[in-house]
Amino acid sequence: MGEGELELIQRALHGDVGAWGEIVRRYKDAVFGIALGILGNPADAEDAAHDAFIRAYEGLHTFQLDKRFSTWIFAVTANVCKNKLRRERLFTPLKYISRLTKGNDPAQELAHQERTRIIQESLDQLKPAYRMPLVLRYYAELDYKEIAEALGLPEGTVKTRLHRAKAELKRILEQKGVTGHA
Amino acid sequence: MHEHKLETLLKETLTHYAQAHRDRIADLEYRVVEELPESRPAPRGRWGLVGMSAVAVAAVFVLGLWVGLSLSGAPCHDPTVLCLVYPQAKSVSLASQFTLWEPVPMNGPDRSGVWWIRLPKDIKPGRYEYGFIVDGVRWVYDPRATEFVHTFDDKINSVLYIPPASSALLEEGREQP
Amino acid sequence: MRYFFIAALIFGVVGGVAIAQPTPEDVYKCFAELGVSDLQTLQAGFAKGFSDKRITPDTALKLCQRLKQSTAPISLREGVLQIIARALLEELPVTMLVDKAFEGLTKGVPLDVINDDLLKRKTTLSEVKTLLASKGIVIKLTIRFGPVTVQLTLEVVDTTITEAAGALEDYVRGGGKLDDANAIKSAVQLRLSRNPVIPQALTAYIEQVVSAAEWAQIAQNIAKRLKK
Repeated sequence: MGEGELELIQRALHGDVGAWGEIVRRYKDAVFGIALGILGNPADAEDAAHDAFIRAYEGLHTFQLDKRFSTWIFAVTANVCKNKLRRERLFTPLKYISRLTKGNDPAQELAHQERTRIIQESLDQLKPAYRMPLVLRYYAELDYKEIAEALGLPEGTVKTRLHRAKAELKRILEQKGVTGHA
Repeated sequence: MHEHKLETLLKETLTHYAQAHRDRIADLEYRVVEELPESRPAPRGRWGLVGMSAVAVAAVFVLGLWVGLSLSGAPCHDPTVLCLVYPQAKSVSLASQFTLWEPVPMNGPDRSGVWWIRLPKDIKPGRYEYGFIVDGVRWVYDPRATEFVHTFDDKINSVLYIPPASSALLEEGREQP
Repeated sequence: MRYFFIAALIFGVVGGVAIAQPTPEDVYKCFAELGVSDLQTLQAGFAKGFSDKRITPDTALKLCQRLKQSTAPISLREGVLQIIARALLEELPVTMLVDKAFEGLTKGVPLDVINDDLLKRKTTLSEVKTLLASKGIVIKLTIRFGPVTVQLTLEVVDTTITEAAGALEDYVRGGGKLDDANAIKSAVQLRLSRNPVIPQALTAYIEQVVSAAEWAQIAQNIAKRLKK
């Protein structure tokens, strides 16, 4: 039986692993997406998502019930990814694999895919300190305050990094000839 | 490139990429749950020295809390008593549905910093939301409760149940210190 | 002579106790002192509430006195009372509304937020009442569930409406999934089953006659009102 999130967390706090499983089900897409955006590599992102949920379960007693759970779990995810990057000097993004070419394959679809590939590659070129706030803002849709909380940074620093990240990304894209026009 | 366009492309790219590899996490919840023990696990070695130290400090704190509550004047083992550990508070009051949310000053603190109050003897069976007011301004829920609800969006109330045919609380899963 | 004095003493004590209890007039006096703009509606609503025994003059007076202590604009303070008065006129249970008003005042929640919250909860109470009434759960009727006959007193029906509405509100506010109708129904049933005023047979009857989709619809309405 699914319930309100608060009730699931309470049950998980009391050792109900099934309740935690439901939390994982609800948040795995977002957590994996964040990890993938930060790490650039699906296999590593899968590991990171798995680790994030284990860590979060073990540290669940530190979560303040009056805060947003999504912000907290995204913070755990960001930390897991940060540690992975630091510890394993990891960053070998796979070549972008187009897996969405089922059905018709018109020239427009190809052009869109090509542009998406280039943007992903350009994202991969950003350093983690820039990439992480970008992913939390444009994938997880957190606001500045939540990103600051998740990354343990002042809000001003988050705004600065986002601004610089976007400027850097624009520069890389323009170098690769992506101008934003269809 | 316009900033708005960049942001749109970013969102699309990140979403597209995540969806493309979504099948990797199709069974993630089962794998996570399989790895979890039924009870909360002790931290693992891979947390390193910092993690182990933090756990040791927390364990000492919890042990101290338990000893403190056990030795304290506050009868926190009694299920008809509500307790809050808050040594730095100057005053703590209970506010609850059964007092029409009128703050009622709690006893304490004892030497362990525990504040406590006994439930009214004539409290009727039922469900009651409650919390504590620290120093007249700060709303704090009871971390020892087993149920919580959101109220007025950004606040949390604790919930307790008084069972029928008993003026004393049954355990109902309330944590003991 | 001795018995006369004893009788006089008893009457004096009883009379004294009776005098100490607030009367409806005390409540209306407090409303007037608050400076409300529409005393008529307040009096009509609360008079009905006192008569129906949905609220006591003691509780109403306490609420009025708490509102007097607030420094918020009169219109906002009156707003709380008007919402409750209208609920009483609509024959809705007001326990949840009164409780939330006191809670908000104690926690220093701004009165416009309290009013907004009460209005939303009043709508939920109304929707739950309508749903249960459509299933025959109406005051003064009886329902049969198996061998058991349940008298639907005001206390039983009002408590059922209040608990169901409370469960739905808590579910939505706690982030519950709105497309999981079974979870929503379970949350309501659990809350009903834990209230000792609600007969178990009535809880079982509701489980049978109110579908998960019907509870989910109200939950979705709550979410829309809360913009979740």
